[in-house]
Amino acid sequence: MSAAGMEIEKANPRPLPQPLTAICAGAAVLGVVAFVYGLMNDPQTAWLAFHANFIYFGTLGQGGLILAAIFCTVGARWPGPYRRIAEGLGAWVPVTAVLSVVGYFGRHYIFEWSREGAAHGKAVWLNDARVYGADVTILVLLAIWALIFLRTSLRPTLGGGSPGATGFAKTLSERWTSGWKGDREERDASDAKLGKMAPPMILFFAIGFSLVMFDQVMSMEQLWFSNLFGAYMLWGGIASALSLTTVIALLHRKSPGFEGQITEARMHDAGKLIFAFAIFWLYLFFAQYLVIYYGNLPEETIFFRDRLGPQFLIDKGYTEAAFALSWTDWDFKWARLNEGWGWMSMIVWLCNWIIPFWVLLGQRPKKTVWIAGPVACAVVVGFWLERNLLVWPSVVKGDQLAWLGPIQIGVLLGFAGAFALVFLVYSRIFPSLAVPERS
Amino acid sequence: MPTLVSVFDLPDDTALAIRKLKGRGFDDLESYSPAPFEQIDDAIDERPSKVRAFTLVGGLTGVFTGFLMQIWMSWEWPIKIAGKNFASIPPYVIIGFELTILFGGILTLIGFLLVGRLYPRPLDKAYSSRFSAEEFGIAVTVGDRDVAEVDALLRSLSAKEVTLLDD
Repeated sequence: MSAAGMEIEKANPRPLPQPLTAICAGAAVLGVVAFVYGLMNDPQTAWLAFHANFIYFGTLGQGGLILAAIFCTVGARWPGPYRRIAEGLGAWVPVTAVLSVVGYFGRHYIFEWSREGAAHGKAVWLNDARVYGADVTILVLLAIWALIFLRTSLRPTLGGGSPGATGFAKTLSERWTSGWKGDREERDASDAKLGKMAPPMILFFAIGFSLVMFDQVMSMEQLWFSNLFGAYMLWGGIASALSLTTVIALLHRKSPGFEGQITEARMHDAGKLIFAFAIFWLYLFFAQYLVIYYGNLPEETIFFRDRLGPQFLIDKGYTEAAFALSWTDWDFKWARLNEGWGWMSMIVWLCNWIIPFWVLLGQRPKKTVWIAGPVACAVVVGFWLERNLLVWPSVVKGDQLAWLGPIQIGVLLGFAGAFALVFLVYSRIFPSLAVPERS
Repeated sequence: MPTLVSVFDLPDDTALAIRKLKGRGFDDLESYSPAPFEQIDDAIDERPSKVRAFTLVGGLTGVFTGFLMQIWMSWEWPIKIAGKNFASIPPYVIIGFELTILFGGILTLIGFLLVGRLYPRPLDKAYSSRFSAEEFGIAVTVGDRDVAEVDALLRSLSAKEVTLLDD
């Protein structure tokens, strides 16, 4: 391939930034405190907040890893450091597996079928042993696969050990590079292995993670079902991971080792992907919404009724008067966004489709740091709200601000702090974000 | 007005020559290339292609046609189905979207053919079949008194040969 694609990447360890690391650690501790406080005072809220964040950060981390795996599968040369950053988000994948076990203890608060028994005929599938047995197994397998993937992908960058590494970083880097054969040989071997490993990993992720999402999110509304739901959740993970990768890349544009790496061409490509991913996200939503709208079956519309509100569904009844109205009245009223979680749904649409689509339509905004960056941030925030929107209304009907409150914010801070801490240790200490070697 | 046809071996040289010519004010030029090269396109005209205007018009026509057609049809022949609106947005989005793509696509193709002048027409005098094989060409129309100057300029910019066409 091109000369640029053949350059050797090298680990680039740096000290942890202060006071950011301390703030993240503080937020993580605060999150644990808020969660424990919540368990004692309002366990329902605490567990739902935990669950929403578990889903969001779980799909985000896994999405990052899959994004990197997709880059490997298609042999993408354009991403450069973007691939390394996306891999870095994957460092959260093992944590997700651990948190899925924690979620087991809150199952009565999260799942109706666990608290009151499954609906008629669904007990074979929706029972504690089957759901948690399958989900934890899948997540643990994905975590193991993630670690093997990361090790294979990063080994060539660790050649000669990370200079200046101490403690666990030194031990790990020595272990990961045992039997070192030379930069070029190691890189070729790594590429060959990743080429074989990435496609089955993506397939297993698509099938296994869909199943986890069916169990962990869709079954909260146990009467509702959608074949598309798994794919929709996975796509949200990949899209939010791409946006977060872009944000992190833009933040690194002046960092040592990254000079000249976050080029306009790369920003343009990443912007195009965010734009396209936003369209596909809405497409998946619409594909499911349309058939449910048209079929108008109560067990299917319930999910949208609780979220978008009844005005997005056929709710006119069968009277002549209601029917006559439909000639003249398109039946959208701002005031009716107070039904269901209407306003929240609008904000999610705004963040996840309207902003990325219309702002990133042109070429210039994609290449402008101060436009592309905030748009990517909006998508990251939008998907967090979206995951809340998928989780909360299944249990808390009608109260659009149920996701907001001291416990919920505390748990969010905890998750965000822990996620950032994991990424910081990954990106700064070991294995660190690799950058092209300067000659 | 005389036309000078110059032949180049490399796309980068061609692009550079185009930029130099335009920098000197010789804007009436045409380039020939065996394959599309971005640098040559940019040198000729940095503005985005006009084709996109065709796409926009086609797309907008499509979306309006799609929605209006369906709304008109349901008004013209009303059928009551399970309390659905006669003119309801969700199911109409599909036809509206498809016609956006269809009309947009067709008009893009038409725009591409028109803007690229890919319709039956006599070949340019300056064109040579070599420009469809492996060489690049620039035809620049200049005033009589500038011929010598442009000739020297082109040769200094690694043109392999420069010929003069009179008409």
